[in-house]
Amino acid sequence: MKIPIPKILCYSLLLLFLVSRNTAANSQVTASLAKQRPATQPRKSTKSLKDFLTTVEKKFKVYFTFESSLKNTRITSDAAVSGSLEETLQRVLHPLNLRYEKVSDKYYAIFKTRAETEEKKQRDNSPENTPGNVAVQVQENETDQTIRILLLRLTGKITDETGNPMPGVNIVEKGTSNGAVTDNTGKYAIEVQSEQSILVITFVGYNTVEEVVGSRTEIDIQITPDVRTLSEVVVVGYSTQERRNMTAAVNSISPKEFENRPVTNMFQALQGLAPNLTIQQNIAEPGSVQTLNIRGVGSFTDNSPLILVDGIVVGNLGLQYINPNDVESISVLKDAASSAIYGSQAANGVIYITTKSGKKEEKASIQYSGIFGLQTPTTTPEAVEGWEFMTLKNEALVNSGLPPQFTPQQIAAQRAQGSYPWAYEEMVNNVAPQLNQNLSITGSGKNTSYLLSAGYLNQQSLFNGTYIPDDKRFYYKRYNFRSNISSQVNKYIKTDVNLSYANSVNRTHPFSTGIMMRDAMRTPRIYAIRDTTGNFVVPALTSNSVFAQLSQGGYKLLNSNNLLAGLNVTVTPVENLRVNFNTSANYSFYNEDIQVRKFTYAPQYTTASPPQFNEQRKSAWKDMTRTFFATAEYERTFGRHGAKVLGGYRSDHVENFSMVSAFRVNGTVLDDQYSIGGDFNRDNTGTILGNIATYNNIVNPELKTVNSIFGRVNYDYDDKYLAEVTWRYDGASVLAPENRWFFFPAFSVGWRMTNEAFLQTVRDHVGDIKLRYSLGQVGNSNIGGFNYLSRINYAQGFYSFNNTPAQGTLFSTVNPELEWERSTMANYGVDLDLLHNKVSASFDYFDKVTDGIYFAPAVPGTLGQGSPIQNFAKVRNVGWELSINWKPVTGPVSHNVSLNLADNTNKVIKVGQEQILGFDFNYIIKEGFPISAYYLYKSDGLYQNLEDLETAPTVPFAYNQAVNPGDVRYVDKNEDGIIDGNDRYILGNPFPRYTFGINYTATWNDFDFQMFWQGVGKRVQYLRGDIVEAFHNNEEHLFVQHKDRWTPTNPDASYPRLTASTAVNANNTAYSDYWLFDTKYVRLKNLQVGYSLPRQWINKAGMQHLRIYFSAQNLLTFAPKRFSRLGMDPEFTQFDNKLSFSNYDPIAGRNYPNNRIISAGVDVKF
Amino acid sequence: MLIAAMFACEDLDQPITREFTETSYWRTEQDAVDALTSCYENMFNSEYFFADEALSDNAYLKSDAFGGVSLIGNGSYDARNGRVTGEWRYYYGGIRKCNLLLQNIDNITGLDPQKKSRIIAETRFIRAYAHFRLSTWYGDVPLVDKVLSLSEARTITRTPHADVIAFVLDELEIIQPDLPVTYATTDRGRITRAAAIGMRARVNMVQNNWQAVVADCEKLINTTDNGSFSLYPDYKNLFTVEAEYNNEVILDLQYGGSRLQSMQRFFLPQTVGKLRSNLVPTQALVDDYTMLNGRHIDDPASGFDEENPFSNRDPRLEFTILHHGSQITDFDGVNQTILTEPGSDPQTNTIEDQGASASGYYFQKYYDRSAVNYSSGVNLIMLRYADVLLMYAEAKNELNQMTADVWDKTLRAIRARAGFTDASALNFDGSLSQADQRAVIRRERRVELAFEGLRIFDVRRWQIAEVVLNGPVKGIRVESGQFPRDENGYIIVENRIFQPKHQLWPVPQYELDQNPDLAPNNTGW
Repeated sequence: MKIPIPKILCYSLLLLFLVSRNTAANSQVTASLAKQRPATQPRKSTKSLKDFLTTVEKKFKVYFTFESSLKNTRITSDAAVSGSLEETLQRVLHPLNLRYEKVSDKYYAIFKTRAETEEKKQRDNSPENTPGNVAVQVQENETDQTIRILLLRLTGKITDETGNPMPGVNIVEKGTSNGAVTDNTGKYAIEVQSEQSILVITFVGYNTVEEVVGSRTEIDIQITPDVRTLSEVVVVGYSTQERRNMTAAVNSISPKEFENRPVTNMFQALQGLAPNLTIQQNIAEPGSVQTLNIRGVGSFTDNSPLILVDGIVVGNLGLQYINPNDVESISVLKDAASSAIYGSQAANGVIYITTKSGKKEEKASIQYSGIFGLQTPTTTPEAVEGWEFMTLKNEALVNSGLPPQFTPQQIAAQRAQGSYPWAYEEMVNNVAPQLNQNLSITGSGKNTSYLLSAGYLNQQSLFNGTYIPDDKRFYYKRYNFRSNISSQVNKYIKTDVNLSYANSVNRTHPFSTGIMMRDAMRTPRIYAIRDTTGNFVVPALTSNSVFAQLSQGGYKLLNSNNLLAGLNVTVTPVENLRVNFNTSANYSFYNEDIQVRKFTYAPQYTTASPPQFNEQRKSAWKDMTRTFFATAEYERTFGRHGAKVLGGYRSDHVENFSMVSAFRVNGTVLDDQYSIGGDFNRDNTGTILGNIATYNNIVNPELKTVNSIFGRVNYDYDDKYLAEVTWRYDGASVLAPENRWFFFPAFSVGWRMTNEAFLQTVRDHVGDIKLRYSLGQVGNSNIGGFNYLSRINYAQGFYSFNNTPAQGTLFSTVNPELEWERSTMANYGVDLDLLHNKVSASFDYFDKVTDGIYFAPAVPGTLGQGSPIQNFAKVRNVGWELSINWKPVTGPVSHNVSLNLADNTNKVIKVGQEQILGFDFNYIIKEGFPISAYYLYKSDGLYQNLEDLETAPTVPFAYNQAVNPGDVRYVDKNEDGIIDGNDRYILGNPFPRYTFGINYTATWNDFDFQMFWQGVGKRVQYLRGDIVEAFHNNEEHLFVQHKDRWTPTNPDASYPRLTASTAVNANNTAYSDYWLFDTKYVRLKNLQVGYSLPRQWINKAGMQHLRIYFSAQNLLTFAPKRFSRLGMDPEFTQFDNKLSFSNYDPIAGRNYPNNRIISAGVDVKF
Repeated sequence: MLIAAMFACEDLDQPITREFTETSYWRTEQDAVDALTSCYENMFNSEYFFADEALSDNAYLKSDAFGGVSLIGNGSYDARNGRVTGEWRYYYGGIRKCNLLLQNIDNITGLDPQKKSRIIAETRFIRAYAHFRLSTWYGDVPLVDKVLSLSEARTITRTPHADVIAFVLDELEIIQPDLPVTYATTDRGRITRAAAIGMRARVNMVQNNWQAVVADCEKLINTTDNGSFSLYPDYKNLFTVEAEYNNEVILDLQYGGSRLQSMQRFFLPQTVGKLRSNLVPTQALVDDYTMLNGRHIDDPASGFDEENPFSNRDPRLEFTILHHGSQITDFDGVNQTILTEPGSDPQTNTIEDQGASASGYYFQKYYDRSAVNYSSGVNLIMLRYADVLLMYAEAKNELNQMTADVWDKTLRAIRARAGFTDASALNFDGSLSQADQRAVIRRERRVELAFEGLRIFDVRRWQIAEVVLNGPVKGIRVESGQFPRDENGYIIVENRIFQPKHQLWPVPQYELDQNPDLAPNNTGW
């Protein structure tokens, strides 16, 4: 009885669609069929098994593995590819005494029939079912023929990253042609020559592992997916495509890259992972969204990328709701070629998220992951000691011509007594726990596979210090549920139902965080938090104690719900044709309850201004998007020609923000609970609002529809020449009927140059090279509707007559000719696979011109109103992106280094009259310069002495038009002796440049290590007010950096002379580059060390996999000293995604701090 | 396919759900009334009302709030100052609203002709007042009497100041017959005929058209054809909600209902307003309140006692200003004694406290204790009968026609109402020269109308800015040496400078950037 498992197994694999390089590392034993076929050789008719399987692979998008000895097996002439895959294989293989076995969703192994029979018998006979028995048989069998002498017999089992057995894995003794393959249970047996032998374990899509045999006889190995290779199939609009055939600029991100990080949402997860996907924040409070830009800023209206989850448009909030653990893949579509299929919505790129699904024929498994972390601020400002504050305040007052505030006795007493804890630190420098837990169940029945998951996030607020009672703590909690079910209804129809529900509860205070941060920041350390009798202290110049506000002032509770449901039906009526119908809905509803509680301070705090009323504001609002789309895709190859055609129709209907709200104020009766009979139904003017239950505000939904048809044609010739054409014809309700429809075309071409015969040497010695080019046009429809109509706005209270508010009318400006804003983008790319795939790299260069940008140009005040929105401005964005992946193996350690680096610059080409904007600094939108470039005076040090003053220009805005030693000197650009608007310079731009991410992972035995660095190479930010100015606005800010202020004895000071008067300080606080900070940074975004417990231990507990790890977020940050000593996090920006100044808090350091999270987690699989 | 049929047809013609469109406008009387209400919004506002006081020598503003009026006050500003930029935009915004209404009102068919002419007259008043304010600050300004197109707005030139004023005077004259003498109760607060007459007098004052001032004032003083006006008996309560719509008020900026203003927080003591006290009176204003005998404190015969400076003073001082030792009932009904002198206990309102008044005085005129959450619905008086009387007195004196009869009708009545009883304060002093009488009238005007935003206009038309807006701003007299003080011990709060160019504000830099045809800027800018 012979069991013909061959001594040498040479498994080859064929990749979908076009034959090509293979991705496994060991080319000695894994040879691509494609490589063996000279490029110039004409294709043969299907005579060998190899050729036959090649055809089948292309057609059914499956891969085969088989013994190399079988490859030249001749097959009968009737081996046509017809009917289903199974039928074809059965018909062709059976006569050859071969059988096939499906090893996974897309992989099939071909065996000799006898082997199957014998193997089965063995299995049946063996209670242990160990492959060792099989190996014994092999050995017995082989000894008869004695071709080689094998000294050591090894057995073992290969499992995947989650502990599932891996059939069909290639095991080869290094440097020989000796090899084995794992069976259905993942087990293998092999004989090697010595203890020094090295096993090389390879499997497509997985990292190659090398193991020294040593004294072991049983070697179990877990292999991990190769992130880069797994993403070889890239989700593109309405379809998938192989990376190697991509001609467009698409980055795909695997969740592997952010898994086990203590991220609370997808914004944090995505940061730094794709070049030129720029993520910034201007609010860091739990539950806040961040700004996204793909390839810079091209518009003044909205630069949000289109965000889709499983084909449904979800918007930025969708990223907030989705559970990062449910994500299977993310595609970032950057150029016009990839995004044109989304037409009018795609000018700012597309982020396409696919959620996980159950694998076919997968055993049911339960996975749990939990991560618990402790949050602390990444950085905080540092206040001076109490006595230093008193001394310096006196100095500042005297410099301002004002009397000193503190006597020497008071200062001495304060010094002797010591400083109180600083209010700011007490307020936010707390340790706040954070817990993420996820449970998922995957598996499949005969025709149905499923993924069920539940997620829980509990992020406590940094405000929860010792002064906040336990029952009044602030938090953000999110509950995620998902059910993705896929059913093969019959031979022709497959359905996918994806349902997800997210509920988040955000409990925060009802006040302005910025104001409270400001109040805390400007409290010098001469004030206690509580006085000796336990009352909260209200510092002078402050109307409140932030601690009283947080602990007694009430709360704001936002309950958000998001329901995402989609049904996708795939029909395969005939061969090569796939028809898809998808209908989905995205429904969000919100309930907000704001309760401001009246409270009081001790009577000695005479300037305190606590809330005067109990106040309740309730609102509920909802957003809804309904989507339907249908596509048909036909794919075929003709000899060396491959073609794929897709056509589709889509309709999106949005009903945005319909709201009901009500409020009630307790005017005179102290009635905390608003019980019936309380004086609750008045507004704060005493006007009676109506009955208890009357909602007094209804906001209609805003309706919007986009209908479109679209298509795509892919063509390739001989694996060398690639081309793609994409188009979309879009109509949207937001524009006037005559301008509604627009056509957005794009094309791309690619050349796999190393597949040319004359570059064969390059290919052999360097690697694969592919060149890409794309050009296309996409639109931006991110404007509100009805700008083409002249609208009337009524508002109450424009004026009052007889003490009764009267309604007034405002007329909108109107432009009936509004069209789409359009971006034309060219993309030049090159993809490289070098050093036998150890290094892969991509480089893209793009040139994007956005024209007809929605813009309301500045108009003279004399006009009396603003300009209507027009298709007016034009902006050019030019940039490049580089990503490199390198996978060296050093001894037992495998490494993976991936790096991405990108730059983007924009320039305004047309904007008409320059716009000088900003109320706390000036920035300019001007032709020939970047959007929102800072427009400031240039400083030239500090005036030192009277001699300096004599030559000083006149400064009309200085106090009494005079400057003093220690004041900032400005450059008189036009040398007219006066510092005025004409002396301003265009200086720098706040949009980050040279953004990068570096991810390093290493695995060694059961240990794994990850380190992710992220940063910005060039950026400047203007800061003002609270964070940088001492005694800003006559307040009491004073930080350690201000000690280095100018005095006659400290002429090289980093801060001007101290003043404590807005008027006297007017010269120094003018908008100049003195307050411009270099805010480039590099940050250790994540550090992770994990350990997977040996299987023999955990198996006893019924577990397949158990990993424990430590993970730290934002552990280290490096930024220029002048900035970092401010104690401000460099990730903040005051600009939104269109570089419009949208949030004051970050410019003044008033924001809730960014978090550092130290955490530990566990992953378990049953 | 069935599914496709079910879902495929979303209409691209989505309804507009949140706003009305203009096609449905200009149909009814209410449309005109609503558009007019919107014009009223740009007639005047509480911020300008109070902050304008800091432009003058009546008040000092500590912060750079309200567009930087303090910087204008102390001469540290240029064409990019927020207030300079903002007021241009504010009034041209109002002018556009007015012109839009005037151009469209004919589209409304069936509008009652009387109502229509009234609405037009109100609108033209607001437009004229806007031009008056603009030309006061900026001198030559574009005269805009129609809805401008964008290209017109980019090329329009400045009309000479005199022509703008002539336009304003004409308009205020022409509209008078169309304006009612009184309104129904529900329409109280609208522009009356008397408002047009009184405002015209004010414009004539600026031009020193004394005869015209007399003529205008007499339309309100000598006849009741244009409304019957008298002095409200109680000066102290004149500026409260209870006194609204009394016979002294000719035009007031309306607040009430949900339209409220909370400017009082900026001037009340911080123990009352619960916010730092930024807008405070100057010593110079306090000094101009005479003694009860009508004599100025500099007059050796006045009986002024520097050690006891607040006794026997003009009663309006107490009604207008809080000083050391003044009593005030706060929002909670608690009676507070305001202590401003250094070293007092508690220290919260004393001048050494960083949140307290820098001058040692506080305003209390327009303190509205009935305000809920500090937000007041009290109307702010833009024009009142006492002002008309003072204008009349001043014009008569300038015409050298001041008589006992005129005096009695004007200053005597005003002083009597204020609470003066001393004959030397009330009786006409025929021995005074025209110039001396002028000083008396001007001082009377200053104290009667203090904190009503009018002082800066008077300073400008009297051309005394280089005297009163140059040099130190002073506060209370203190003993301690740690305060910057003048030679008499009065603390120096701020130094101001006033240069000839400051007679006019510059045309905003923003406007010059947008419309080069506005150049050249005013002399010196």
